[in-house]
Amino acid sequence: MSTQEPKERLELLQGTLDLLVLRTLIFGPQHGQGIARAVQQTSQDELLVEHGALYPALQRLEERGWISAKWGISSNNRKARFYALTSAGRRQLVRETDKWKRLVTAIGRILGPETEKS
Amino acid sequence: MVLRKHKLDDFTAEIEAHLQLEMEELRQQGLDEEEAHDAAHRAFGNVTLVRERFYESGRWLWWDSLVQDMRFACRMLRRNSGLAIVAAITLALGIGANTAIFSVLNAVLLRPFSYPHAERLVTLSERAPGLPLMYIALPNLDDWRAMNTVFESIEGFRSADVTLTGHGDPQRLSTRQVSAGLFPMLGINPILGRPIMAKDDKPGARPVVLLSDSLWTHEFAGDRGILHQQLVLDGQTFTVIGVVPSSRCHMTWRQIDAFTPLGLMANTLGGPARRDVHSGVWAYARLKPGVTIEQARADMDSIARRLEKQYPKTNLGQGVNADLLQQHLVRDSTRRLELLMGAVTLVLLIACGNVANLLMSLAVVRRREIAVRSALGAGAARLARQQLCESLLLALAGGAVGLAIAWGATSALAHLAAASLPRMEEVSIDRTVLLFTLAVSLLTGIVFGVFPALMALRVDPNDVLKDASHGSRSGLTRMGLRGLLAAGELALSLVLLVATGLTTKSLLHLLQTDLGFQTQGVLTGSLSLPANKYANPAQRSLFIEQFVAKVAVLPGVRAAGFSDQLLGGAQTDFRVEGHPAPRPGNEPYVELSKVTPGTLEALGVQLFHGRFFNSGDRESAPLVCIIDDTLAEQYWPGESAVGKRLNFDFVSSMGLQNSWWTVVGVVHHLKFYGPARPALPEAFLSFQQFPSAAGNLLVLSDVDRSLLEPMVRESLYSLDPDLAIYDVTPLAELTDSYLAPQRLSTILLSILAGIALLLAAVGTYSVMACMVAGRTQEIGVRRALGAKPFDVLQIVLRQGMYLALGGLLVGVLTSIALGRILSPMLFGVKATDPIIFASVGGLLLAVAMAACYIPARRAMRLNPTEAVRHE
Repeated sequence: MSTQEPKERLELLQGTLDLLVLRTLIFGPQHGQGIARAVQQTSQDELLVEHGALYPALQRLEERGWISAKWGISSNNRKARFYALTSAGRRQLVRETDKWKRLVTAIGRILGPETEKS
Repeated sequence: MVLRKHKLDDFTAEIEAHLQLEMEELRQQGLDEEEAHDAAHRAFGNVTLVRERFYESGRWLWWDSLVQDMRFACRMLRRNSGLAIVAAITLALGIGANTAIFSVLNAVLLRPFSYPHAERLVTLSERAPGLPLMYIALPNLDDWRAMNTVFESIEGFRSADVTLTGHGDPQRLSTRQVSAGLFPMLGINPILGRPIMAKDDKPGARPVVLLSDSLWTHEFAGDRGILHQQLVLDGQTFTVIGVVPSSRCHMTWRQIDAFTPLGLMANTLGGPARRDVHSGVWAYARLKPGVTIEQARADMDSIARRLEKQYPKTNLGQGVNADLLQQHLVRDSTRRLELLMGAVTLVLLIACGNVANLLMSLAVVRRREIAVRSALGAGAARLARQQLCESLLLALAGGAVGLAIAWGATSALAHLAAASLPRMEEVSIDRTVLLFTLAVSLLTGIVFGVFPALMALRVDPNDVLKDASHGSRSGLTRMGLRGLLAAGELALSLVLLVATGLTTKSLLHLLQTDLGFQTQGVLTGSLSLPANKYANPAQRSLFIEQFVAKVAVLPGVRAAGFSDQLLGGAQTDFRVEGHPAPRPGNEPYVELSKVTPGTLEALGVQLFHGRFFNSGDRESAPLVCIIDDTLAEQYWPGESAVGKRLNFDFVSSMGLQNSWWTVVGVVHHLKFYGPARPALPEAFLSFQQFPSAAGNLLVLSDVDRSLLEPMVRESLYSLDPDLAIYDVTPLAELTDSYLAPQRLSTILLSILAGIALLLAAVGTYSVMACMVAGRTQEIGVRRALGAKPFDVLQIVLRQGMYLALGGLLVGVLTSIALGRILSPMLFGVKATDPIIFASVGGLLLAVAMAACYIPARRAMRLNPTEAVRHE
């Protein structure tokens, strides 16, 4: 992070952040910073996620009842707010994942095989 | 701050924790303290922005800023308290008027009767050709009960007044004869004793009576021992079986003293055999659930057709009227109330126009403030909302004051309208009215608030802040919007003034209409002779003759008479000798009443031909009648009707079959029901030749009522101490109520039109004054370049004239378009009466010009040097 990244990162599409957060939480409760790190690492640094942008998304998901939050202690003994997937959130994740896959397939068909390969 | 799951402090802590965790992780990757801090913050992005977004994402944010806006609006209005007070008072007038009229409309049209399923109650009556409303013959009522498929029940009732004797002085009671199911249908149970039952409700049953709660408390001191006591009503002994809360009933039912079974009287009303006797019986019915009034009408129509076939002699051409009770009672008032509601709406719109104008002039002053706020980042929507908040606050304040005004106005209004509208005793400011006022206030706030809000949206901070001078392009368009408002106000007040002018002219026309009789100095009173004491016609005839003779010679009495009907007659079909018998079901009708000599004289009726009745027209003499000129013109145009003979169906049905009555006089037609309602042709029989047991004394005298009344009572007492004369009333009081509805509309419309005119004048003035103020510099330049004061006056007046003429033109067109609504309520004047239009137009133009003249004169007197420097 301290140095300039050589490759250009992808900006997130509108609405995909929610999906990524839900997906990340499937492995268990996690705090905000943990989620940000996880998204970045799992995407092999392809995605540009400004950590701050995560919080409105968490706020939104919490309002909708898809995740719940409570204060806890992190692995390195710090106080942090941990988010966990609710059962409604789990269902939402299944729905959203399905939708996303259909979208990708559909877009992929339109763009054609060459683009798909590159 | 309002409820939030996630507090802002908590959120700040969370972000802090995030940064700490990140820094720790970075430090583990080998970065030093400072590098880690920077990198963590870089990765996080703008902390403040995130916090702000978090704050704004709260669902209650709008509430926060609303509170903020309201607080700001309060400050603004306090700073401009003069303007705020004027605006609030203007609105209070408009909203108060609306609330007051709506509270009346609510009581009359909207609030249901307090009966169970009142919306399914139906009123029934009969009709015949030429008689749109006819009492029900009892056998028909019984057949409807048996044959209909649409009603749960049908219950008849009949008004009857009786004399109560043996309980102090003889006194008059109003009673209703009701069938056994009527009170159960209305959901009214006796508070004491038992109801009328089927066994009471037939001829020959033991006579029973139910007292109303008011009679019970006032006459019998609420004594529970009244049960099983006996009361003598019209000489017949009735046993008291209970007390009903008639105060729970609607309208006239509340004033009834006692109730007796209708079936008990069946024989006196013609009995089961007489389908041709339609004597005072009406009916209420309750629809079965889910049945519409149209279905009920269709069913009753088909029953009428079947009865017509079965009894062609009596039922030919007859039909049944069925109307929902609630609508029936208010039918005549609906249009009038809607007109008033329309009028108050116009007043409110004009008030809105004025307040919008005021706020816009305030907004002009505040352009700099708005521009600064806009330059500092306030969005257009936020600025507009701020303006709307001020408007809403003003409107709510106006609504509160308006409610106070309405509180006072409503009772005055109910009192004023008592004679012309039903259910006035129920008028009150209830929850519906309060909700209405709140809704109207909010709506008002939005309507007049839109204009200044629009202005706020159009403010370009660049323009305003760079160029402080007035009167730029936006100044002109601003004038356009405000000018439009003023013109609109003039248009609306023209509509209202025209409506007022037309109703006033119509009322004047009605007041000047000749009723055909005089009311001045005529006193009336009712008398009825108990059947047991005055059983045969000769006794009645003799008694009335003696009584009238005694009254006629009292000091100051100029004429006295006795008539079986007061202001009206029995409607009956008739035949004219020498004319072919009318087709059955198509007979012509007259209003027939029986009068003694002296009656028509006391009424000052004009005699065209022949003579009035005299003492010779008695039992033994040839049967005689007097007819009015309408009837005479109809059958004997151009010749005298005196000597012709007529036969009246009503008389035949009462026992004098095949009696032919010779016309001895032709009199002026009498408008019994007032100038606004048509009356059938009239015929009068000699009371002496066909006496009835009850009727009305009419006395024309020069002496005051307070002197005359005791003398009349004394005369009656000397003849029969058991009799009482009741309902003593000056005739003028009765006829006054004729025009009560018209008078009410005219008074209220005049008040509203006055308010509208005042508001429109103020509106026009403020627009013109503002216009002149905005053009001060320009006028100064013109003057400096040589324009004369008169030229300046002309410029201003011309601008005002355009505005006024535009408004008036729109108003005239609207009035013509709305004339259709008004015309059914007008008599003797067309809805497009040119004189009214011209005078109202002239008046408004004069008012508008006066409103322009004051600022114009100010402009004229401006000192050019000062004006040019004016900012």
